[in-house]
Amino acid sequence: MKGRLGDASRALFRRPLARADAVANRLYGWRYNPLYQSGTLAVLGFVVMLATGLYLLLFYRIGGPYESMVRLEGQVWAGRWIRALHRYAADLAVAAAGLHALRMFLQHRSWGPRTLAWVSGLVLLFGTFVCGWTGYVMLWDEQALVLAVEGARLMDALPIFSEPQARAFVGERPIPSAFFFLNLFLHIALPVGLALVLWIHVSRLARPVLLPPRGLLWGSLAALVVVSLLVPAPLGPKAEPLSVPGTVELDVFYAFWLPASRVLAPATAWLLFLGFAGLLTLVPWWTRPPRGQRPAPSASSERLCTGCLQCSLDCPYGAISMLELAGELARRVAQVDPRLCVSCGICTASCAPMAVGPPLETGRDELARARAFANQRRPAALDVVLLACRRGAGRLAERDTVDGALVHPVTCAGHLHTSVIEFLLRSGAGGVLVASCPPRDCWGREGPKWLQERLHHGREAELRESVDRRRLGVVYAGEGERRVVLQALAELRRTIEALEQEPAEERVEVELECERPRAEAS
Amino acid sequence: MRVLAAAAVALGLALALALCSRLPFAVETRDDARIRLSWRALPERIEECREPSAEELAKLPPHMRRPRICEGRTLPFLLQVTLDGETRLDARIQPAGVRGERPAYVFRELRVAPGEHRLTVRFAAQPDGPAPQGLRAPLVLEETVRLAPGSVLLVTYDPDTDRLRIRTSG
Repeated sequence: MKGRLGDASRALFRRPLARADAVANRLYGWRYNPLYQSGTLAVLGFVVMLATGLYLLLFYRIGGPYESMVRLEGQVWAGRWIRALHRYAADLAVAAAGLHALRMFLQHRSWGPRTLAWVSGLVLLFGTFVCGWTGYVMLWDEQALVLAVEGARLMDALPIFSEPQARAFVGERPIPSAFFFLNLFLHIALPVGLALVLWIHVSRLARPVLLPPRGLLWGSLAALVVVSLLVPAPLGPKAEPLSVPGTVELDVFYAFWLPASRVLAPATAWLLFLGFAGLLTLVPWWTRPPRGQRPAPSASSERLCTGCLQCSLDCPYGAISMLELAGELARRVAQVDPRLCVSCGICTASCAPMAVGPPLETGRDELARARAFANQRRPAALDVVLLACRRGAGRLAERDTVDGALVHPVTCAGHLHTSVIEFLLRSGAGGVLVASCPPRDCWGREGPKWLQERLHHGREAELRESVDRRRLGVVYAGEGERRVVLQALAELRRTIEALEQEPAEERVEVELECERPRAEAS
Repeated sequence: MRVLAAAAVALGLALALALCSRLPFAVETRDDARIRLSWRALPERIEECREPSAEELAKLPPHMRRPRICEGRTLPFLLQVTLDGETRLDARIQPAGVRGERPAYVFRELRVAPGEHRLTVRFAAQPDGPAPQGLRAPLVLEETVRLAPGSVLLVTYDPDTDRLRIRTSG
């Protein structure tokens, strides 16, 4: 029931997001696709907020908050657009964080050992909302008054204050400076606390990436600066408690709740908020698969492990450590911590002896499946075998053949052992095309990166040098990018056809060159 | 061409972000005016004392036998607002706190048509029976007020003069 609830809610968003990913990939390429960088863009927004906030702090006066904002707006060269940049960076942080949470939810990356990241991410998001609320109230314009009054009305519903807080804003007496001091204090102190929560958020990652790649970083920053110059952040008329507010300009990223909250009784608003917050907090519980269907964590074989360290280096979650065995056969063996392992299977492809991996997903299991595939499908010299990642690759893993290519689905291209590729080529296939998710969108974080390293850069468990790289292709394609895979397939097929048409003598010569020393030796 | 399209989309998204940051929202209509009542009042405490009978005293342990037993309680307030002779508010206001010993807070807002009105506000402790001696006189405000559309008239309590008074903007 719980798993089905998660699947049903995912089905709503997964396809539209896959389409959006495909469009963004066409425009920016997978490396700079902002939809793949939602987490790092949120951090970028946070960093810009901090930098611009320090500048704005120099001009803010708790004795005359609105007046200091008006003075700042008068600084055409710096103040006005820096305030706008501060605001739009705050909006970017919330929008990107929301998208990041949605992605993690859709990709089943929100339960098990990732629960800590999910819950701390929600704390980050909620903290950012509160920080934003204090920031808007600090301006003390009409929007600030509306937010302050509504916030106080909601707080008054809680049995914690002896005096109704909303009375502070009725116009009976001037708003005390202490109120603005408290706001300013919270506005500065909260980000410090959020930085700590961010550290917790990424603490289970071996190599957390906090900022987007340089091109996207500067591009996003440039877009924000241009918009800050073109569209200054609004500053409404000064808050006047003895006047009906009328129409104000609201920031939907931070005040989206206001229209609903104003028409609801405070108790109902609180119940709705707590219900929604509870639903989000319990996502790790209600989206995890039923007990029997949860992927098991990786395990290492003490018999096969050579203690080479590679799996512990490759694991994106720091779940593998090396255990020193005592006694006569003292050596190191890999040990997987099941509390940290997310069953991504990246370790499967880490070592030549295939000693680590989730049950039934080790390199040996992959090789056995490839053997069965080759026996059944019997690939010929002009055939291409498409090793399609089940999570992306234009959803081609669901098919038997694509455009004449034989499809062999793999759980994740990131834990594809190089021996599988070598075996398929040796079993007669003309070529192998690996269709993987784009690197920044890998469900196991670093799968495509390590795959490339193993295929082309000699990373441990590398593809043997004797394997002809011309017959091998790797293409990055998301769920909605079938076209990209088909293009790569056509290109590889052309290469193979060209290779097959090469004069046989030339090939014989090369083979003879290889065979000669052996023949001489014998 | 693709670079231009990518830059245009990025700018478009940033512009959408900026526009979402300033969406107009009608908080309230400014066609009418408001009368806001806001003040804090200390509750009236009344004590009822009696002399216990000899039997009652005999039932109590010696250290608890007192010649007079007094039971105190606070009175709720009655807030009445009439506008041009029409009762707009008639509410009982309980002092705060579990035992009702903390101050009572008046915090109400009435929507009224703009223009000139005769406003009467009466705020008094409300005993259950006949008024006990020493009860404070009710706070009464009677004024003719002129309200502009979108304006707020605040009725509050001035502790220096012990009277209700009116505040408006400007």
